[in-house]
Amino acid sequence: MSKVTTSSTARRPEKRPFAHLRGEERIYFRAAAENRLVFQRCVACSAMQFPPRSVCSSCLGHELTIEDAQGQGSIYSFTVVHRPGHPAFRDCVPYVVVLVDLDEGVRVIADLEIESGTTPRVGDRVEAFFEPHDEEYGVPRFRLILEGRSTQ
Amino acid sequence: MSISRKVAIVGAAESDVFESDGRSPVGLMAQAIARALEQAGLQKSDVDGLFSASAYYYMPVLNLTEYLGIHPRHADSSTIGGCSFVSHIQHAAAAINAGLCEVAVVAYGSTQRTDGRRLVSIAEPSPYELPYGLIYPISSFGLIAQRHMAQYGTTSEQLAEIAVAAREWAMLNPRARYKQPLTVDDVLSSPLISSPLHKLDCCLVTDGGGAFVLTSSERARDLTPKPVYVEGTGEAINHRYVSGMPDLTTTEAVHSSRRALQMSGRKLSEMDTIHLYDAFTISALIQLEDIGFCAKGEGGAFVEGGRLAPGGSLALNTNGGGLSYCHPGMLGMFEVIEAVRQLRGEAGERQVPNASTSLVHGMGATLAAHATAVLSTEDW
Repeated sequence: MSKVTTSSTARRPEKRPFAHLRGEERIYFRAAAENRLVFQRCVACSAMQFPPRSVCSSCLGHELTIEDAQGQGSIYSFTVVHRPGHPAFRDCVPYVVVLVDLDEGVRVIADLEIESGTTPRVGDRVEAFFEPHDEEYGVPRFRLILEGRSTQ
Repeated sequence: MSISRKVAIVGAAESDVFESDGRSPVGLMAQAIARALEQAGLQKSDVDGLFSASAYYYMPVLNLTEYLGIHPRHADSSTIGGCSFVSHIQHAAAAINAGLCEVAVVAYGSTQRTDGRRLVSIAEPSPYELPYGLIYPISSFGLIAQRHMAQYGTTSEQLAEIAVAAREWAMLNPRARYKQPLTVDDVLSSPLISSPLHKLDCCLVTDGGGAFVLTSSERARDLTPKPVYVEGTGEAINHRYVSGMPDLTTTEAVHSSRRALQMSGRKLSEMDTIHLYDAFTISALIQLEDIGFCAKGEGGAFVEGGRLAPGGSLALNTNGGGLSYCHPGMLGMFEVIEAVRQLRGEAGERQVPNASTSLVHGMGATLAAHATAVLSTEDW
């Protein structure tokens, strides 16, 4: 997982819209502030889940562990957003939102940093990187793993 | 104890639609309720069951009781998105059958066009989606459409056929605003909003309201020469946000429609008119597949060649649907009203000859909730 590279990519909002997080909703974004992409695993039945919940959505088990994903996966689907979905994105269109199937087996949503004018394909390999949001939280993002380019 | 054929719709009416001209959301509900009760020959004092869902009112049934001076003994504001009113058919049938009420009114009203042509939605974004700027709900359906295309080879041209057919139906509807024909090229050359969806893949943003009245089948026969019997109903729900949708191309419509058909004892081939939730071209296509009009993944080929247009083999969304007639945010109400109109033979130029049985299917949120009803005028 690597640092942000921004040359010729779509602009990011200065301040992203962000929910008032409650309880277990904080887990994912706190981990992102530490450059970690996390999901949960149930101790009782080993099921993985994202987003984090207070119980296992497979067996209702109460004991859940937080695991770090490697941060790589494939694009399950994407959409190129041509009109800002929020005022903070007014100067950012078009931008790409992706659903990513992580190699560990959970699906997450984020945006894709990509060169302006390029469109990804379903199945493309991607890796996570992280953007600080505030002192407590970070925001996971993805970019393409390009052939011949370091994935470091 | 089945609720099949135990209740019937005896009145169904729209309020003013498209632009509401000085009426509030509850005002639109009230206008539609007055019209629907008049059709049924009932007074407001007869109403003892009240059902509503709304993006404007947290407790819409309470607003209605105050606004109209109705005093229900059974109330239900179950909200599962735009299909809530289809699900209310099942809830009302159960309540009437259990003796909890005798005359149930289901009502809806919205002024979202007048409010600035934006979807009015109770603010409840997913914390996991909010930082990324998705347009709610269009980007969710963009993700769904893109996945369907990648998985099954569905094309933008095929999706556009659904919008073109909807416009052809709307051109037969005197209440529809847009009357110029649409071509596949028109859809494809309209601006991309959230790829692969263009502006014309998306529904209109209108005002509108509606109401329908249910009572026991026995009482219905005394009230009207053509009761619309509720033969079967089904619901199925599995997620809230697109980021939590287990499979972007297959939905719980599979189960809600099967439940409704099973309860009715009918086959899909017996449906004279079909009313699906076409908030987007892709939402209609996935419902066609999941309900079983064609196999999963074959929806694109299925909608080609005008199959859904007037004169085609499937009478789908005969009022022009959300794509070309009216979509105030929660479409299910208008699907039910149009089915009732067809079944009573009151659909004018767009009337499907001798229509006696209809399937109404609604979805809520991003293909998250599903409710199906089989309605018929056939006595048994």
